[in-house]
Amino acid sequence: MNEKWLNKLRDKLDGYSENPPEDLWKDIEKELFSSPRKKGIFIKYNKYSFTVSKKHIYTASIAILFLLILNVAFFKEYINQTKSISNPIVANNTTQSNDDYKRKKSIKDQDYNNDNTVLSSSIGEYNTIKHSDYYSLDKKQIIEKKQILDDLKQVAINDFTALIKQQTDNSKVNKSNFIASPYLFDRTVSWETLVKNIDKMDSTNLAKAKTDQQPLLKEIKDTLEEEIAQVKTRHKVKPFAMNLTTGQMFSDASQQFSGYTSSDGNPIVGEELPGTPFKELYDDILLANELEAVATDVKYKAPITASISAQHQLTEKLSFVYGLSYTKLKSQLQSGSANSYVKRELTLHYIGIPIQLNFNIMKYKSFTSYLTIGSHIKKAVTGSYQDSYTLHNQTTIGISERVTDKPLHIAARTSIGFQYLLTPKLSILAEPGIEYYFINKSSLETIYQKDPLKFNLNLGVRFMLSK
Amino acid sequence: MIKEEHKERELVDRLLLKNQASWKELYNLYAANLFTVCSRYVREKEDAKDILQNSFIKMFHSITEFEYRGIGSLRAWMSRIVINESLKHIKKYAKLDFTTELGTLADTVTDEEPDLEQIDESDLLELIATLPIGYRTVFNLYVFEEKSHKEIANLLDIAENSSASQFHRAKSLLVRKLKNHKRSAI
Repeated sequence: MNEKWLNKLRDKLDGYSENPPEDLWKDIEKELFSSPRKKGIFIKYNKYSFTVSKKHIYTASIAILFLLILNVAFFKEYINQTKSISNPIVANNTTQSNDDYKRKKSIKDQDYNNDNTVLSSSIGEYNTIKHSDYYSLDKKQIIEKKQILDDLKQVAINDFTALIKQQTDNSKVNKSNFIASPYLFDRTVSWETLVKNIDKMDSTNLAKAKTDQQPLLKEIKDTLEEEIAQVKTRHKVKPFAMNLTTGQMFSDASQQFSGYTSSDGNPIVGEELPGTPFKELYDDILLANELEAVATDVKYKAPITASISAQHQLTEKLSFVYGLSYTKLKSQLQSGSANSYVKRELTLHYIGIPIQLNFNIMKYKSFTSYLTIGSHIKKAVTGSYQDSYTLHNQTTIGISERVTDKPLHIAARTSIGFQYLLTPKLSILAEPGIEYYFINKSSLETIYQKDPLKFNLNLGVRFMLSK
Repeated sequence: MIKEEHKERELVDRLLLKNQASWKELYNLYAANLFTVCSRYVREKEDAKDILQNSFIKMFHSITEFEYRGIGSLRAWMSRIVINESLKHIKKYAKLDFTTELGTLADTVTDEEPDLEQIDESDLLELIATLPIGYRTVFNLYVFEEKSHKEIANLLDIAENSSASQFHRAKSLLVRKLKNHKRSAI
């Protein structure tokens, strides 16, 4: 083979030199003759090692700070609320004991005798306390609260008795019917019995009471029923729920490089050369673009994740969530000029295991807010490349190939969750948060390596399964 | 010549002392030439810059192992480091795979030799740079570093016939490019 021209080529370029960038020596000097500056934090875990850059540390810190402030604000507001509700009651009622109850009752009976508004106010207090959140309290506080509720219950019964008494006095009905009713004053009587008895009284003895007192009576009854329901709920087995969620990152990512490159910006590689039928086409595209501005566009579409998970209530505040997820990830690389280019689409399907701890921070009526911290391990199970060649706007579909490399990603995630109870068994949830992909074991360039720190939003529904 | 050799030997002695001014002197003498070597392997100037920077750091740390064997030996040693670093960069980032079977290759090679007189060096370098990286790497090692296909196969962990076919293909593509360039120049 005649290779004379190659010798000419070598001689021609041998003496030729191009000046390097001006700042190169400065960089070398800095590297060799001054103390090295740390570019980030180098973390090593088993065989995995990675550097968390300063940029990522800053962004993560800001995000965490933001979440903390948000939570503190919520929590502070909540504490203020609780304090204003519970403090005066604690002062007035927690000291009440069974023994001195009767003494107090007689005093209260007198006090309340002609004052129905007191009854309304005690029911009001009772309701406020009852609706406030159990989840945000510790054991001691719950016991305290139960005590308050019991006391209030007694006050309500007191008021109720006083009311009946007043009614019967007014209507000159035989008092003994009521005063002799021991269950009204017996704390050991269960709530259920009490309600039944009130029902009985409602139908037999209270017929003569004024009709405008009926709503109040009903209110007491309802309140008591609710209390029964709540006590029941708290005694049942640890709640178990199933969640269906879908997650979406907030942003796509894209990059442009000049020339023909692979997705990491490096020149296109031997591996990515087309298969036999398309080699000529590939060469033609290279030739067609000889005088064109050539660039490589890499687009990473935001991955979509769907997951199914189970949630176990560990304590009143803490629950553990674990499940199975599916993620579809798409990216696209287009190399060439506007009219003639090579395109490669990569689709990866992942199966993952998300685990998460939820920590309830506040509850207001049907609305619950919680903090989450968790991890998500994803492993690609299948994936494929689809090539296409466009020469002067004529597109030819190339070979579709299976991906041999199956990337593994591990992410840490924290978010603030909001749950709204639609029915007792069904709730909707939203969990905006941040995710950091700290382990990316892959030779494929994916959105997770490109931009490991991501804001994302999980939306879903939660079914209560246990009764 | 002897004077020049004496001067270079003296520079090597000073380099061993890791003296900043001496290293700058070395840089000023060879950086442009070495940068061109890098540019043959990687297309992006930024990458060539990174490779050269890493090479100088490597030289700085391994100068103690360098043995002066007369004029040209310093440059050869430096080139070797630069080429190694370039290949390392390519292997690390581009994941070279030369296993692609070439199958039936359209024989575009003609006996007609391309005319190199009319093209200037920077265009020529640019045309080489536009070769797909697998072709380019083999082509550079064969033509400029005068490695045999066996040596190239060892360097790149590929089969010897793979190196030969990559080179063959690179050559034919470059001929096409050169002709095309000439046509467009006229």
